[in-house]
Amino acid sequence: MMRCYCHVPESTDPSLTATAGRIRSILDRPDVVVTTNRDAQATAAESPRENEPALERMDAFIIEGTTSDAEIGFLLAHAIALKKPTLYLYQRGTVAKVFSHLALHELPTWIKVVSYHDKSLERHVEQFLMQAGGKSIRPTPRIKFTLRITSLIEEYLNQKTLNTKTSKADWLRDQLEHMMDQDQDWQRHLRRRASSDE
Amino acid sequence: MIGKRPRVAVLFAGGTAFRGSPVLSRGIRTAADVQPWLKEMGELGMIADIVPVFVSAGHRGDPATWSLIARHILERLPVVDGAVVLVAPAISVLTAIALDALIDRVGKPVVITPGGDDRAGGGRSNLINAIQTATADLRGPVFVSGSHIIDARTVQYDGSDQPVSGTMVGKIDFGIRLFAHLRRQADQRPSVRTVFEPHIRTITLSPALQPKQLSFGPSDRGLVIAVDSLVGVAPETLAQIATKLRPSMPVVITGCPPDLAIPTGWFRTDSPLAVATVRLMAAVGTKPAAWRTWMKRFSSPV
Repeated sequence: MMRCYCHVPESTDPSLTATAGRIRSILDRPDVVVTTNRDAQATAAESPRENEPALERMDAFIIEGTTSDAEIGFLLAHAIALKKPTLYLYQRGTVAKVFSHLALHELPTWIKVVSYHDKSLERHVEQFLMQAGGKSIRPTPRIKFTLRITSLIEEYLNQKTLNTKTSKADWLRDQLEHMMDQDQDWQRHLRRRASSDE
Repeated sequence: MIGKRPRVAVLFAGGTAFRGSPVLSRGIRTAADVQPWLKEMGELGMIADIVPVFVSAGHRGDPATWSLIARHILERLPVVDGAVVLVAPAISVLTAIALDALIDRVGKPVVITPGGDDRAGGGRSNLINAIQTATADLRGPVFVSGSHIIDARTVQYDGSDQPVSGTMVGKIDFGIRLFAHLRRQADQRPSVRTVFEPHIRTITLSPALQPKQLSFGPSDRGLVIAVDSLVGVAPETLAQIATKLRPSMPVVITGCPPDLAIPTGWFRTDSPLAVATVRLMAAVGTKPAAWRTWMKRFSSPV
């Protein structure tokens, strides 16, 4: 189970409000416990005497850093000191505020600074979760794909999943993911895309 | 919170040795060590522009160093948004008590915090929390340890492994959450309220201590008596001590049961001996004739 803190500054900008909602829905999964800055404000007064640092209990941070926010520097400072994997997102076409204080090469390797556009946000967050969470985190299938199969293929799938706890759909997804791991062309494509995102 | 990028003065008076690199492990021993140390602590620059001030490599809790820290605070506070005083954990509480007694009209946060890697009271996270607190909308000396922001006047540490306690003015979780507190007044000019009166005697009553063995001279400007709660003390013993003192000599007694009669004019407190001594030094240094008034003020929450 991975604990993730997500900070999207309060803003009147509707795109940022939408981003907060989209990140929250990506993190809405059974293997991730997410706390956001809005949740934290609501529960702040519940246990004023508890002295266990809340940030240290988190496994990873996700920060939307397009706008200036006084708390972002504080969170980044803790992420650096505590060596917590952190995804710092900023809208493509803007300048990441984090670079005002530290150059990219000065940021430690566990801080990922990524510019995103409307179509890439979910991918960046899911990739980060997989990297930060290791094998405990798997991307959630969200795209419906209808595939007509022959009766022979169906019989094959039944045989492969008989007496297992794996559904036919999960088994097929596992096979595809294995093929993707082994496909060098695909891996090259991923590396090219990762470097163009930075 | 400050709208623009804040500036925070960080006064180094000990507690600067951290794990992480040879530079951090060595700590700040001279002024020349400050910049290399700050380079290793690059995360501090994510919060504020740091204005470093080297005070000393470390101190054991002495009036001269506290007075020096106070003067540095006065000099820097008008041009920064807050100040952090980094000291060794062992004397952090006393330093907070001393600075609270020394400095008056503090319109910005002055954050005393223990340094070093002692998990019970320090660590890099603690320093980050302290610097963030120095940018918050509050004023006056406060003590930051772990996730608690405590009114410096009320901070207590009993010397065991228990964390510090006191009146909380805020909590640090994913940000600063302030409770009832005094808000920032940037136009206030701080001043040093007093100098410490160093010639304060302290005695701890024990079965082996005979009042007739005690003698006090004209250079003794005050006395703090600590009563061992396991042993207790008889009123006659206190009366015998009183006969050896000048009539107007300030006397503070700590640790005695609340129903025990004490000589007229003495001041009773529950504070530990060291805290009571620091406060009496400040009270007598402020106004000897009104030392009781200042003792009450130093002992009452803001």
